[in-house]
Amino acid sequence: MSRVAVLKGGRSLERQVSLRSGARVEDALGRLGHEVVSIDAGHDLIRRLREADPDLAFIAMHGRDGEDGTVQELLEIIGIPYTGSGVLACGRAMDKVLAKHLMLEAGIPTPEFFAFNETAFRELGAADALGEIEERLAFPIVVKPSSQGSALGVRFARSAADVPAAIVAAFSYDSRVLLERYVDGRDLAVSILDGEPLPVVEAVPHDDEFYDFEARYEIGRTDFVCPAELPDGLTEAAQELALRTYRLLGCTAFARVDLMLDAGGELTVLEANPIPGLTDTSLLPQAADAAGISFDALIGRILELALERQPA
Amino acid sequence: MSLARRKRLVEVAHERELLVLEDNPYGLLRYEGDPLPPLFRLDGGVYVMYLGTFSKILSPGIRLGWVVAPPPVLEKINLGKQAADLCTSTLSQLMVQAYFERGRWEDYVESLTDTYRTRRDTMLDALAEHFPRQAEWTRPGGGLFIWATLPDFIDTTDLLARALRDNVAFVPGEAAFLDGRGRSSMRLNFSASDEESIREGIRRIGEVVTEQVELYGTLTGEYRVEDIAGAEVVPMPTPGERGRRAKGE
Repeated sequence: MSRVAVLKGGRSLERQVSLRSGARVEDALGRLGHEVVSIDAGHDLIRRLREADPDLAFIAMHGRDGEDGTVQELLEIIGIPYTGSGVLACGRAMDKVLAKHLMLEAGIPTPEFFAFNETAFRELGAADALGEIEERLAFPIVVKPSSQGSALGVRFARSAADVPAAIVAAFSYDSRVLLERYVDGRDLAVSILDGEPLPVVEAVPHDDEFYDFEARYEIGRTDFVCPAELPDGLTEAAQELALRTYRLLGCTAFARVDLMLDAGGELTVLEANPIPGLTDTSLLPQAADAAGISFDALIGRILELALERQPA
Repeated sequence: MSLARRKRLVEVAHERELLVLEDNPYGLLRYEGDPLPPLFRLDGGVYVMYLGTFSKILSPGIRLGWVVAPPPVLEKINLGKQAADLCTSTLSQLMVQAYFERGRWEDYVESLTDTYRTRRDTMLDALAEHFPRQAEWTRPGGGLFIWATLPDFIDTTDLLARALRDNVAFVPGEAAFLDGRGRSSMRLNFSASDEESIREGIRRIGEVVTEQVELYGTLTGEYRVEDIAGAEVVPMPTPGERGRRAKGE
C-alpha cells in the first residue's frame, strides 16, 4: 500500500469544488487501504510535501494552479510522482484558445471563434472589428475567458448590445477571452480512462438556458443521462472525437472532453479538462459507474497508472 | 431599513399573521442621527421575535446572544438548542453577565462607535477619491457596511474574481437578494480593517472598477476617458462633502 498525498483546495475559484473532490478521493483511498496525507495547497505546499514524503501525489485540484500545470511542474521539481496529465498537456488543455487552435490544425471540429488579449481592445482598437466578428459568428455568441473551468465567466450575448458587458465579465477571469459560435444542441461529455472512452454523459439542465457554475454542482439543478441516448453511430463518433482530443493534447491516465451535438447531428469539441470534478455530481465518476467501475476502483486505477508511469 | 419600511413590514406581518425574526446585531452601533426603533418595539412583541448578540458590542469570540420571543417559541428554541449543543458554556455566560452588571458596557460601545465612525468616514473619503463617477454608495448612519452600486454593465461576482487577483475582496451584492438583483452592487465592510488597509483596499477595488469602466468605454464609446475618475483634475472633496454622491441612508 502506498502513502498518498491528496492535494486539494488551493486559491483557485474552484476551491470549494476541489475540497469536495479531494475529500471524496481521500475516503476512497482510505477504503483501498492507502495511507492518506491531506494537503490544502497553500504557501507551505512544498514543505508539507517534503515532510510527508509520499509515494505519490493525487492532484484533486481544479482550475488555476492545479489544472494548468503549475502544481505538476512543482511536483516534477521535487521528484514526487503524481496522478493525471503532465505539465504540457495541462497547459494545452487549460488554455482554451491554444487547445482550439490545435484542434483546428488536427481537423477536430470545434466551434468557430476569435480570441483577444485585453491590449487588443485597449490599445489596438479591436472594438472596431466587433461588427465583423458578430457577423461571422451570428448571435447568440458565447463569450468566455480562455482559461477558466466550470463555466466561470461564460456569457451568452444575444445581441450586439450584450457583447461589451460579456467581454468585460470574461476579462475579470483572464487576460484573454474568446468569442465563440454558439452551438444550439445537446451537451455531451466523454471521459477517458487509460486511453479508453467511457460511456457518454448528457447534461440536461432543468430550466436554465445555460449550464452554469451553480447548476454543475448542485444536485437537482441538472439531470444527467448516462449512457446518453444518441442516434446510431453518434456514441462511437463522440467517443472517437474525445479520444482524438485527449491524444492531441497529450493527456495521461484520465480527462473529460466536453462536446456539443447540434440539431443536424454534427459533433463539435468545446474543451478538454485534465482534472475533471470528482464530486458526488461529477461526470467522470458517473461515466465510470455506467461502465461498471465503482468510484473506489476508478481512484485505484488512476493511482496505479501514476505509479506505473514512474520507474521505481 | 428606513422607519417607513419598518412600519410597513410590521403592518404586513399583522395583516397576514406572519412571524418575523428580527436579527439586530448592529442596532447599537449608531454614528449619527437617532437610532431607529427595532421592529420588535413597533410590533410590541406580537409577531416579531428578536435576536441580539454580544459579538458586535463585546467580542465576536464570545459566541453568545439573546432572544426575545413568546414562551411557546422559547420552549421550542430551548429544545433545539439542547439537541444541538446541550447548553452554551456556563462560564462564558457568567462572565458576560458580570460584565454587563458592572454597567461599563455603554462606554465600550461608545468607543467602538467612535472607531467605526472614523473607519466609515475613511472609507467614504476613499470611495470619493478612487471610485469612478458612475458609481454611487450609501452613507450609513449605523452598522458596519457601505453598499456601493456600479454601472449596470459590471457584474460584481465577476469583478470579485478580478479583485481577488489583487488580494482584495468584497461581498457581491447578489448575495443580498433571492431574485438575482444586486448584480452590480457590493457590500463593503469598514469595521474589520484599520484606516490604512481601508484606503488601500478601496484604492485597489477602485482601480479594477475603473479598468472595467474604461474597457467598456472602448467597447461601446459610451464612456469617454474624461468621464473616468483620475483622468482629469478633480478637487478633493472637503470633509463636509463626503458622501455627496450618497443615495441617502
